[in-house]
Order: sequence, then C-alpha cells, then structure tokens
Amino acid sequence: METYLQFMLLGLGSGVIFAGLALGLVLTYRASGVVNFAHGAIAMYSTYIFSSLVDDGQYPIPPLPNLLSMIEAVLGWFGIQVDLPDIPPFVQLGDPWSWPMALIGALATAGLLGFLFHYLVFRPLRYQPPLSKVVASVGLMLMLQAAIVVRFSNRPRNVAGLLPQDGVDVLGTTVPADRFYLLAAILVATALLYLVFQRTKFGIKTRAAAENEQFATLLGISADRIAAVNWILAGILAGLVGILAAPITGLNPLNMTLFIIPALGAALVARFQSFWIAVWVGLAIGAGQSLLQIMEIRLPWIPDINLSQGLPLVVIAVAMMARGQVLPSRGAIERGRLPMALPTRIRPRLMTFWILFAAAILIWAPFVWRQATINTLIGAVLALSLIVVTGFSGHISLAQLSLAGIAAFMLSSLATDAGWPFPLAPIFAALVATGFGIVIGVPALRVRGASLAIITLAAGVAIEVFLFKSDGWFAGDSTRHVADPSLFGIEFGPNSPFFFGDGKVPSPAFGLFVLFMFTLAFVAVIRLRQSMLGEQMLALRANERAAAAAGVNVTSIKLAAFGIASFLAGIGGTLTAYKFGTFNMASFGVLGSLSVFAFSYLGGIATVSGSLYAGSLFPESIGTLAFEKLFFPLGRYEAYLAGLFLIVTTLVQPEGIDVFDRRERRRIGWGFVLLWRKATGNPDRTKPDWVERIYPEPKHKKGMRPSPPATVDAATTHEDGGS
Amino acid sequence: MKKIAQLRWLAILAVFALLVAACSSSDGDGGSEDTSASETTATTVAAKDPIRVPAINQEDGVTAFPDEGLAVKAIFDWYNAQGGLDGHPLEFDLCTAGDDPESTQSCAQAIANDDSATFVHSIMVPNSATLFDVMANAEKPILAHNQFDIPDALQPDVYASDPGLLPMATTLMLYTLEDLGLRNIGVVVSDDEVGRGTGDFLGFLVEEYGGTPTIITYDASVADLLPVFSAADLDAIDGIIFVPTSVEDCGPASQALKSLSFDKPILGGDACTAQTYVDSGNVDGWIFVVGTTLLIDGDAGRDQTIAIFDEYGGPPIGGLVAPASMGAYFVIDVLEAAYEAAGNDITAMTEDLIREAALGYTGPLTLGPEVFGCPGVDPFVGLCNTSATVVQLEGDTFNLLTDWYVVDVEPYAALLEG
Repeated sequence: METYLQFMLLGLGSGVIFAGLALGLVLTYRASGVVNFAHGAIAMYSTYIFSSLVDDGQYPIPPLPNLLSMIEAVLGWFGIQVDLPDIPPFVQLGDPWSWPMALIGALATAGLLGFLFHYLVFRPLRYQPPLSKVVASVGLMLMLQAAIVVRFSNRPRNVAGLLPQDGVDVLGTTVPADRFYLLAAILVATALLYLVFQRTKFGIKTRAAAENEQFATLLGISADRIAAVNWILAGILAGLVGILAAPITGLNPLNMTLFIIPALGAALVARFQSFWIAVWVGLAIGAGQSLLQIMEIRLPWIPDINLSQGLPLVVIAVAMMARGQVLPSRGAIERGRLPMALPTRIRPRLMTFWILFAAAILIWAPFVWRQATINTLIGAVLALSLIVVTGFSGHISLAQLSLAGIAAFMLSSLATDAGWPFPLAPIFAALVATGFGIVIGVPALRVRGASLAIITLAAGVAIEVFLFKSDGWFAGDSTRHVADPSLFGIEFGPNSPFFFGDGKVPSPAFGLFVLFMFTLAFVAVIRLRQSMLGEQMLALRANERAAAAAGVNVTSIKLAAFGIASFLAGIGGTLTAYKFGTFNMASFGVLGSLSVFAFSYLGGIATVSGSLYAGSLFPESIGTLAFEKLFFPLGRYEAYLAGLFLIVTTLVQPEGIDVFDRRERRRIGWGFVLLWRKATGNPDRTKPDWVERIYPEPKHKKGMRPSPPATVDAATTHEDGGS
Repeated sequence: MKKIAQLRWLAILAVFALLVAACSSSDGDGGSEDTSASETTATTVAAKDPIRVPAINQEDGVTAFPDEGLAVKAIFDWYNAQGGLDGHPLEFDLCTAGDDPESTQSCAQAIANDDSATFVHSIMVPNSATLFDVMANAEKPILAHNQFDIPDALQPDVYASDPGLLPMATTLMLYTLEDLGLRNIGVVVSDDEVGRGTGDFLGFLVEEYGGTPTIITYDASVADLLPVFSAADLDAIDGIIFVPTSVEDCGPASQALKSLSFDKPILGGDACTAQTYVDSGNVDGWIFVVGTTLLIDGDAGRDQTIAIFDEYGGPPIGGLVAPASMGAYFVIDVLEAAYEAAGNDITAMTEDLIREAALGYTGPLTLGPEVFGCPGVDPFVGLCNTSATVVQLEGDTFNLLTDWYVVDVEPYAALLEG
C-alpha cells in the first residue's frame, strides 16, 4: 500500500501541471464562456519567451504583416528590385536577462496574449455560438504553435529550473522539492481566485456578468472589462505554469498543447465553475496516471492497454455520464447563429461539367496537379463528414480523422491480412468506422457545444491510445500496407498502369477512382440535405426542444447524423490508405482531427459545396499548390497561416469561404445586371432566378440579426443557439 | 453592414500583407525555399554542368530537422567552393517535407517522376514508409537515409551511411556488458512502434550477452518522467540505456534521474548530444554511442566540418546533425565513384551506375569508421555501415572511450524471422 501511496505522490509533477492549466481554463470560461483550447499553447509560448530572454536576451517577434514587403513584392512584379527594411525575427534586448526579469517579461507577454485574445478574437465572438469560439481557439492554438516552430525551429531548448530541485523524503520516497513549490503556487493561486470570486466586488461582478450579462450591464457592470482582466490573469497563470513546469516536462511546441486534454477533463468535472474541484481533479489525474504506472508493472491482471495514458479520457467519460449537460450556459444578451445551411440541389449539367473538368486534370495535367487534386478530393470527403455532423446536425466532432484511421487500418487487416476483395473490404471497413462513430455519438444525446467538442476530442485520443497503439485489427503504430484496389482485373491504385497520360505517379486511374467516390459522397450529402432526414437534422440544430415537440425523434436523428458522418469519414480513411499504400498512425493523429475540423469550417461547414473549398486547404491540395505556384512555398508558415485564416474567417466570415464566394458572386452578378439594365433603359428591379440561386436573400431585415434578441436562459435553451 | 464589409476586406488585406511579408522575410527561415547549392557557389565553381543532388528533408511542421538540412547544404557549398566534382558543381535540390505524410509523398513523387533525378538523398525522413513506397516503384536508389528503426535497415535499394539501430545498439550493449561489466541494465524506450521494437531488440541483446534487462517504457505525452523511472526499481539496476523518442525527451529524463540521485552509468543514443544539452550540463557524464567521428573531440574531420559550418552557415554539430553531415560526405563519395565509372560523363550517371557505385563502395567512409561496405548482409541490404563506437561527455568535450566495434548483424536475421 505504501508503494501505491508513494506513486500517487510521485504523480504530483504531472498533477500540478494539469491542475494549473485546468485552473486557467475555468477562469477563462467563467470570464467569457470560452473553452480555450489554446490555453496550453499560451503556456508553451511564454516559456519559449522566458527561455529566449534568459539564454540570449532576445525577444521573438511573431510573423507580422509588413506593408513594406508588399511594396517590394509589387515592384518585383515589374522587375524593380528594392530592399526595404524587414521586421526582424528577434529583437536583441542586450545581454541575456536575469531570470526574475525574464520571468516578468514572459508573464507580461502571457498576460498580453490573454488580453489580445479577448479583445481581438473572443470579444467580437461573444454572441456567437460555441462552434465559433471552439474554432477560434483551435486557430489560436495552431497559430501559437506554428509561430514557435517558425521562430525557434525544433532545436531543443533547455529551461533553467527556478525552483529548488533537491529531493524531499516523503512516505519513504524522494520527491523533488520543485513539485511541492509548484503545488503550493497552484494552491495559493486557487485560494486567491476563490477569495476574489467570493469576496471581492470584482469577483461578484464577474459572476454577475456570467449569470446574466443583460442585468449586469443594467447595473453598470462592464462585462467586457471584467472579462479582459480575467483573460489577462488566465494568461499569466498559464505562463507561470509553463515556465515553472518546463524543467519537469521539457520544452517543445507540442507537449504543453497536448497537456490541455487532461486539463480539460479536470475542468469538465468542475463544470468549468469550481476552481477547487478543477485543481483537485487535475492533481488526481496526475496521481492516478502515476499510480497506474506502477500497477501495470506490479499487477499482472491489469490489461496492458495504456491505461495510464487513457485515464484523462476515463475522467471525461465519467464526468459526462454523471453530469449530462456539463457546461452551464452563460446568460448572454443575444446569440449569433450557426452558419447557414443553404438549400442546395443537384444541377446535372453543372455537375457533369465539373466532373469532366476534374477528370481532365486527373488525366492530362502534370502529376503534381493530379496528386493535389486527389488530396483535395479525399480532404473534401472528410469535410463532407463534418458537414453532416456539424453543419447539418449542429454537433461538434473532433474525432473524424480518428474514425478515418479506424477504417484505414481495418481495410489493411481485411484486404492485406484476411484477403478480402475490393470493394467488400473498404465498404466493411467504413461500416466498422460507422459503428465506432455511433458510439462516439451517444454522448451527443446529452451534451452539445463545447462539451461535446471536449468529449469527441477525448474519444479521438482514446482511439489512438487504446486501438491504434495496441496490436490487432486497428493497430496503427506499426507500418500497414494495402495493395492497389482492383475490380474484374482492372487495377486503379496510385501505381496502376493507365492507358493514357504521362505514365507518372500517381496513376490517373487512381485519380478517377477517387473522383468517382467523391462524386458519390457529394451527391449523397446533397440528397441528405434535401431529404426529410436532412430537414430533421437542421430542425434539431436550430432548436432541439422545438424539434422534439414537432415529432422529430431526437435520439435516432442524432445517431443517424453521427453514423452517416462516420461512414463518410471511413470512406475518406480507406481512400487515404489506398493513396499511401504503406501508412501508419501519422496520417490519423488527434491533432490532425483538429486541422480537418478547422479546414472544414474554413471552407464552409454548413454547405455541401464548402467541402471542396475545405479540401483545397488540406496539405498538398489544389489550394496550397496553387498558392505555392503563384506566390511562394508556404513551408513552416503553412500552419501559422492556417491558424490565422481560421481566426479571421471566424471573425469576419463565420459562414466560410463558400458562402463568402456565393455572396460576392451574387453581389457582382446583380451589379452587372443592374448596370446592363441601366444601359439599356430597363427599369426592372426584380432579381433574376439565377441570382437567388447563387445566394438566397436573407429573410431578416438589413442590419438586424436573424435570431431574436432575448436573454438566454440556461434552463430553457441549449448551448448552440438557433440557426 | 458597410463597416463589416470594410473590415472583411481590411482583414483580407492584412492576411495578404502577412503572406508577402512571410515570403520576403530575410530571417532565413521562411518556408521551404529551394535551397540550391549552385546559387550560393556560382562564383567559385567552374562553369561545367551541375550534377543534381535531389534531396528530401523533414523541415516543416512541429517535428522538423532544419539544422540537418543546413548542415548538408553547407557541406555541398564547401565542396563546390573547392571546385566541385571535376569542375561540376553539385546542385543541392532540396524538397522540404512537413510532418504530414502527404508532403513526404509529394516530395518523393516529384523525384520519382523526374527523369533527371537518378537517386534521392534522404536526410531526415521519419515518414520513411511513404518515401520507400514511392521510390521502390520508381526503382531509384536512396542514399544516406538516416535509419530511425529496424524496418529502415531492411528496405532494399537504401544505402545508409549511418549505422542505425542494429549496430549502434549492439555496440552500446557490448560496451556496457563487456567494458563496463554491468549486468542489470535498464532499457528506457518510448511506448510506440519504434520504441517497443528497440526495447525488444535491446532486451534480447542484453540477455544474449549474459545480462538481465529491465525494459522501461514511457509515453511521449506524459508530463513527468519521474514516476516512470521510480517504477523501475533503480536500486536493482546497474546502468541505464536511454533511447529517446525525440530529442526533447533528453532534458526531462536527465532531470528525473538527477532527482532520484541516480549516479550509475547512463548511456544514450547520439540524439542527446545536441548542443543545447551539452551547454546545459544536463547530460554531462553520459556515455553516447556514435557512428561518426564528427562526435569525437580532437578528430580532424570534426574540426574541418566545424570550420565548414562556420564559413558556410552550418548549425552546431551535435545531435543528429553529425550523422546527417556524414551522409552528405557519403553522397559525395558515391557520386565521385559513379562519375568515374561513367567515364567522367555526367550524362551517363544513371540510376544503375549510382546504385553500383553505392554497392561497390567499400570506404573508408569519410569521417566514419574504417570498415564500410554495401550491400549489407542479407536481409539488411541497406546497412552498409555496421560500425560504431562510444564517447563520453565531460564538460563540453566528447572523449572517445573505446575502439570502433564492427558488428556482425547476420545473426539478427534469424531473430527477425522469429
């Protein structure tokens, strides 16, 4: 027993990190209703600043717009080479800084980041549904991570320990003193926050603003200012945790970002409300992981399925089952709406044109464009899965790429190991992914919004930890193979011969196969949007209770949405497997799921044609290739710009590129019509049908929001607001 | 509405400005530039036609090896400045991949489909399965591939200068058991495919040479390695062999072991020799297995390479920069041999000639061990270098501890079949 107690104590190192991050997450949520997925990234970013100041006396400047460079580029198009000043990547601030000064500098940066995140991103999004906030915070996470990669590369950095690391003997084991100091710091911070929120005017105002923003405003409380102060505090807290914990964890762009998952679990148990519960659960997760470490060694009956890694997911699952609607809604003045799911229909002539156009590219274009088209189409299939589950039914799923991975590895097991023929193997593999998808969808029966995002993210991690890293059908940790698909003796894989073309890889035959599969998926999703099932999904998205009252079977519709989306993700996974031939888990990681979600949102998550824009944003797709051909190789800037685009899109064009494109086409087209009528003396002001088809006129009056301005009561509405 | 529209366009303008800024930034790390060595050495090299060196390196994304690419480029620049290959500059044509397999596949396809590319210089490509798949179909040899795991050593048509896991692990084991006389060895590996395979292999070796292994696995995503080491009963262990999943793990591991006052020998792979760790003192006293003289202080080749890096913008020489640099020297050696075999005609340097030059190459490998030869022993056909040695870091000096071990990897074939 003493040994187990010792190991619980040894888990203090991990526990204080999870607890510290969870504390910041709760603070941010209470301040502004945002589940900040970028919280760990703030910790990481501040720690790099600290390290850079201590080691080199340099302060990194994130990649920023340089208007002088624009002048250089424009002049360069005309052959005029000028060398105007660049923004330096680092500012040299004298000799290496002493650690107290560096700590102040790094924490000031963390606070500033919190302030900027609030004022530039989350304040403008305060009336938007959780989807927008989740996407924006994912964008910030990607951007901060990429900024560090751009500036510091991956050269390991050593972070000097600020806390004494002498061993302290407790319960017969030696624990470094820094864990206790860090614990003390976290507990003091928690106590202070508790007292501030319970006893001070500021805390009471924060709570009032969270309870009912409208009434708080009437009482003269500035919810904005209060939220800003809390964001600054949360940023400083993140920075402090990152810097103090760096000697324990090491410093790289990835680990702090990943620690957010157990921290989210702790915050979820605390319903993003109680500082103390979040901290204790964070500590318990650390202790539990450490305990499982020794139990897995000492107790042979414990299955070797990476239980210690899976503990945070168990915590999240238990919290979800025990509490149901885990995140309390905030009383906001009004809510924005989810992106419009524009009506759509199959236009055979237009579709035939585009299919032939894509086929021509796949056959005759240079191989780089062929490969980019294939990547785009596979990305579009994955995006279609999110369009169904998030765009139509309103559920955030961050596990779609993991589901695709299940299908890919199942395909390898069936086709390569068991010898199943095409198309049985890929269809069955996609069906298996569907089964897992429906299981992941079960929590959606009770929770929505950011809670569901956390749960599905945890499900993605669970799939990785328990399935991909284990032996068996879904093993993805080892290299898996799948042969080129063939039917009736005709091969159509990436290396298959094709009777026409340049003979280079990938084969046009594979491209045409992917195009065929995408077309099937695209048409199926359009049909779904037009069908009664699609209408019911949208009704559910708009107002679950109203839909139920209208006779919609909420349970079956939700599970159907997850099932259909998972089947599409499975198809995407099998296509990915065929594309590589030899593949492993690297193609289906959890962070990849976040990127797929982000790209799908950018493209237009509620419109079927948005899938093509989304596909064009995937790595090595048509969009990125065209950009690189026209401008410059994106390289390490790709993730940075993707994060930036995501944030900008969330702020200024939340309905995605597709709707932006439609709206601008409508505006320009209608402008031309008016000009033509004016020139020809035609006084007619009625819009032609084709204008309305591009983008239907919004039903609400100009300048007014479509959703009714009303105080949202947590007891009577769900988290997502209306459509 | 008008304000929103203006905001929208302002945002788009700002993003565009950022793109252009990123493009024209002079900070030297702006994306995957086409780092052509011929550009940088055009003034110093004779005007003969260049010889293309198509290369792949994982430089973009979170897991990246930009320093290794810089090192290779600096060596080619230096070589060209010396006159190149009989007056032909080596045109270093680098395709940079991210950590997504798609970008590795695109780079590989570009080289596979390029008729003028007769081989690929693989610098650091962890997504090797994708690379192998494409290059095997194109039937083009892969030179200097840094081997991350055992399957890499089994891949045909790969000619590696770095000894990789099999010889290095054996060397480490022989040194640990025979020279240091340790018996109870803790083998610390990451809990993933590469780590588990390495752990199994090292465990087998320890037993084979009469020792007792304790395999300690850790997950790369854990926050603290202290419980991992504590669970291992360090009192019963005579020494630890630490094989990190990534370079960043060396720091936390050293901190955890210090916290536990572990004062027995710690042995590790060359990844932990990165300059950061040397400077920090965290790995002071550690013993490292190395496959190149570049990590041995006092070696003339090391001094020469450091001088090259100083002049041509190379990185610090520690960590994986050293095997990557040896790879560049190896490629130069193979190209010189192929050029000679082609009758000093670069147009005759076909895939087959490059392959033959690599296959017939017996060394001595520049800056490597004395014994070298391709192909490797079946089935490890790509394993040309089976030699390694060990160094110990004392202060900031890597001291050679023993002679080079020449490892016979043939018995491992039976192990694989088992």
